[in-house]
Amino acid sequence: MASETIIDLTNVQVFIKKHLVLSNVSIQINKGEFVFLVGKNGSGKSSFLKTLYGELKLEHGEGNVAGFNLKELKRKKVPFLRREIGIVFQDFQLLTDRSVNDNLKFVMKATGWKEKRKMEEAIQELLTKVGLGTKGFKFPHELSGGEQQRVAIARALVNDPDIILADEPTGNLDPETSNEIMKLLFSIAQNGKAVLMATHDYELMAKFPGRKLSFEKGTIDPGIAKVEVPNEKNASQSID
Amino acid sequence: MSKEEKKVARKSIRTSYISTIISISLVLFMLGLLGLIILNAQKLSNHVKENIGFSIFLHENTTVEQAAKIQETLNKQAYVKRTKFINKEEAAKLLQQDLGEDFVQFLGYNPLLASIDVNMNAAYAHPDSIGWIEASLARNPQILEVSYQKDLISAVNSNVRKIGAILLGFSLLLLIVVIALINNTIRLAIYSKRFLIKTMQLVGATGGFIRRPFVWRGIVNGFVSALIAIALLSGVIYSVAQNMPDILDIADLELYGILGAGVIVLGVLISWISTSLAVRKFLRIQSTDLY
Repeated sequence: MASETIIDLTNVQVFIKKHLVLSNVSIQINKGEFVFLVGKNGSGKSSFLKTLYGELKLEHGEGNVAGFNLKELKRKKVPFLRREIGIVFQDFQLLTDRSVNDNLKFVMKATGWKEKRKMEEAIQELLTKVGLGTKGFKFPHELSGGEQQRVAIARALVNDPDIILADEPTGNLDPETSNEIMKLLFSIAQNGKAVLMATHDYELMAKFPGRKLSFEKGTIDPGIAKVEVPNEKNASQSID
Repeated sequence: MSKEEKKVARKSIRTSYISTIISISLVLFMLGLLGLIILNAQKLSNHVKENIGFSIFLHENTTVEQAAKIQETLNKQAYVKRTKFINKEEAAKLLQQDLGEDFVQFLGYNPLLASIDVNMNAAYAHPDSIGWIEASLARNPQILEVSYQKDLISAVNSNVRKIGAILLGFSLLLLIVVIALINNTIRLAIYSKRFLIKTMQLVGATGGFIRRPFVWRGIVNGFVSALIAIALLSGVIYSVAQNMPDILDIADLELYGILGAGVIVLGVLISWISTSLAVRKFLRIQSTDLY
């Protein structure tokens, strides 16, 4: 399994406007790691993820994500950082005015894909990977919550990013569907991506092995964190 | 079920575009109406000014040929709209008509002088212009006197200026109202898509890529709205021209061309700028501020 560091934060402070949310954050995350972000509501999990994908500007500390220096990242360069990251949200955030195929096609066009045939092939491949091979023509509102989340995951994988950030991706789903989404995210980590997932679901965490970052007292406690890179063995144990 | 839902979704998108277009069309129509009034006010003002003129009284001994030469010279001047030569006999006849008495018979001779009535181009119908025109004409030995009503010319100019200022003020006010209304309509339309815009940003689309289709749609909406406004204005022009031909000349295609072009330019320009600014705003704010 690859062990190249893909996220490297040193003494980072996270602010929302002038309000300090997290301080003294020093974390390294490698490719292929599955990382759970756990903590109470308002503990700063979403703000931490926002900092990683450039929604919140890093003002204090040093941060490097997928080769981008967060502190020196200009607003114009943020889209290019996001092309190296796949983002999955609790509320899916699909483009509701177009079909599933067009949701994926939008990302492709926005990120520089040109050839129509290649796009169509890639869309089919991605949808098949997430188990929606026959539903590309549907609109988001015609899909169940689990299916919409699968589309969001397929969208996150369009540019084959090294990092997947998932902000409570199972928060709106029933336990069975949550389990399926977890299997999908877990298999993505097995393919060498770093997956960071904010969650409150301790049952899922018990089923799927992963490193845990605890958000408490205004910082991230890496003390209890144990690097546990998923592999074929523990993944199949968890899924079964 | 699926087809039905798609139909509903498309209908909802169409309805939103249609209501935006209708709002912009009506506002542009209002602006077009004011434009029509302003353009016609200019014509009316020119018409009034061009009916103001002065009379050049010629010396008793001026021959018809000399008078014709003076008239010919006058006709070549930039300030002259038209001239009319009135000989002694015609002048007497006109005065007789006004007085209702044959004063020539009473006096035993015709005391009136031959004259040339000059109507000026609107741009020169001003006391200052008439002042230097008078001075230049006075150098001609055949010309006895240049006569005009200085007070009337001053009063006409002053009133035209006042009416113009009022119209201009009203137009500026309406223009601001038009810009504000169109801007507001477009901002509301874009506001309803703020989450889509944010999602587009989160998947790695650049600001330019996101903005382009919105701005293009804004330009198309502005153009279509302008065409609808022009159609409505055409109806008004036709109706007014049919019922009050003295006020509007339906054959004045240049005027209506300027008006139509103005409505299209304003419709497209305001929609373009408003859409760009509205999308830019939502591209710059953080996701937490969208709610």
